[in-house]
Amino acid sequence: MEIELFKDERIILLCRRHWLTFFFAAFNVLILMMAVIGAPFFLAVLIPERLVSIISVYEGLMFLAVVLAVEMLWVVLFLIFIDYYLDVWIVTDHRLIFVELHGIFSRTVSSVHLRNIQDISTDIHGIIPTLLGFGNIRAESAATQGEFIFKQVPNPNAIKDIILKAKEEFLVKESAGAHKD
Amino acid sequence: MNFITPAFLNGMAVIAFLVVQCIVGVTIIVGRYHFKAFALPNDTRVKRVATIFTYGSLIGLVAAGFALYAVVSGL
Repeated sequence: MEIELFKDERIILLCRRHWLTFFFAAFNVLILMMAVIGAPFFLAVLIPERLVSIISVYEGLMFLAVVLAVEMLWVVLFLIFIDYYLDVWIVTDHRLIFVELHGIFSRTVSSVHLRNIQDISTDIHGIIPTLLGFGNIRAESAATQGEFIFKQVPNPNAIKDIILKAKEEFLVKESAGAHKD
Repeated sequence: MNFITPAFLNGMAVIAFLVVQCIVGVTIIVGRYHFKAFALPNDTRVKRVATIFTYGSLIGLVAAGFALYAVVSGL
């Protein structure tokens, strides 16, 4: 895995967006795919008799166009899945790690140490997020970037509690280590 | 519109085929690299999904190849 953890660092939680965000995006593409595949059959029913002989000359081209369109939509589905699956927010016992893909040739990996987190807030907007319990978590830090956001994650309040607990345990461990020295 | 001959259409079909296959191929290869780099070592689900998408693209390539052959050979 490309993300390097410290020697004594362990992953507490790995979160992604709620699966529904992927489902809504993928559903649109699947509907479009079905429309593209079904279009020739609809045309065959709808076009007038006199045009059938003209259109039938281009049957091969239409079939090729349908296959290529479905292939492109398949790739779009793949990109949607990559974007959903590889946008990852990791809570370790030392820091928060944010991996976000912006397209296949652009990726941001950032991390903020638990001791630098100053404030954490959650927000849930909309009917479906409220009913299903997913939303954003904003972590304010003393780092240059300032604000880190977990986007559309399930149970944001529970995750916020996990981060706060991890921070508390880290600070206790750090001060115990300092006293030992 | 005189230039839209069967040969022209065949040429456009070949170009469209090549462009789409390049886009699909590059996307699948780069996507699989991302999975390898960022998936956890014991994540079998992502390997399965990557395999499904790869085989789906290969099926698409074969289907598009047959369609292109049908167009170019005038079937």
